[in-house]
Amino acid sequence: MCSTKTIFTRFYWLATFVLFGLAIATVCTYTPTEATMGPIQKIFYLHLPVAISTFLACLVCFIGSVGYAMKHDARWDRLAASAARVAVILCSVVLLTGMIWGRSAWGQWWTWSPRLTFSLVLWLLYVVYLMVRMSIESPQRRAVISAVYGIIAFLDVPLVYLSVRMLPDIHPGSVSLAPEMRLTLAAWFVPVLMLTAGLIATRYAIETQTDAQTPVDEAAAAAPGRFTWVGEVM
Amino acid sequence: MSSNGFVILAYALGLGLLWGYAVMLFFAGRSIGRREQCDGGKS
Repeated sequence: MCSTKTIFTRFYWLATFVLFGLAIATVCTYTPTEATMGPIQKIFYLHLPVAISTFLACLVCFIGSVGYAMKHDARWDRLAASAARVAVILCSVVLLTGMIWGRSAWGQWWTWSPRLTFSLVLWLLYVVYLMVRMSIESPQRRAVISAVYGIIAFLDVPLVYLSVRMLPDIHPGSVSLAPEMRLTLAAWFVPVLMLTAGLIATRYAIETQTDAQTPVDEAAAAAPGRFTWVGEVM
Repeated sequence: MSSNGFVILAYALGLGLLWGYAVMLFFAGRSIGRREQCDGGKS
């Protein structure tokens, strides 16, 4: 017998999957090819929603970090950690799709323009966040250090967003779209945001289950200075 | 590689990473759930 929560979860993931299918169909059949860049512009419909989702995941991590700093409740720490893991995956997709677009549009895989550089820094910041978490054995110490780091790491998000407006950059700052293109973009925003929320929620549930199953190591809790590198980061 | 090839590569990589991670989480959650059942909620 399935609980209401299980039925909702299944329906949510099925709806996300179907909406992704519709979004792909929209790109393939409905949206017109852009006149200047040609077919390569179609990467934009995945690239932009995933970039915005990256910012939102970083914001959730920031909120979780601030929440833990204020309340010292492990739930906030779990939320921040879950969002950081998802932010790394999303940011990887942004960098990869951006590089492929750049190779075709600018003739090079990578250029050290302000937005690209700040985006790479953002990815590195959250990878380091996960490595720092894995390296600290004491749960309390890990949560405190992660909260401070999560608050500081978020400062790069406004830099990524504003860099293209405040500094000379090869990356386009704003684009004008035909109505069909706007509709396609909206069709991509919905499933990408749903997937982001679903991934954070699932990761949070796993963190909660793992914490419940892990016996409290009194020695580790009492020795907050002990650091151990663990292979598993994601 | 043609422009269409780059577009297909970008979507395959992007969606592959996102959904690959989702599938990984699904199996991780299921294995933790099974462990919980085997322990009978003792831990």
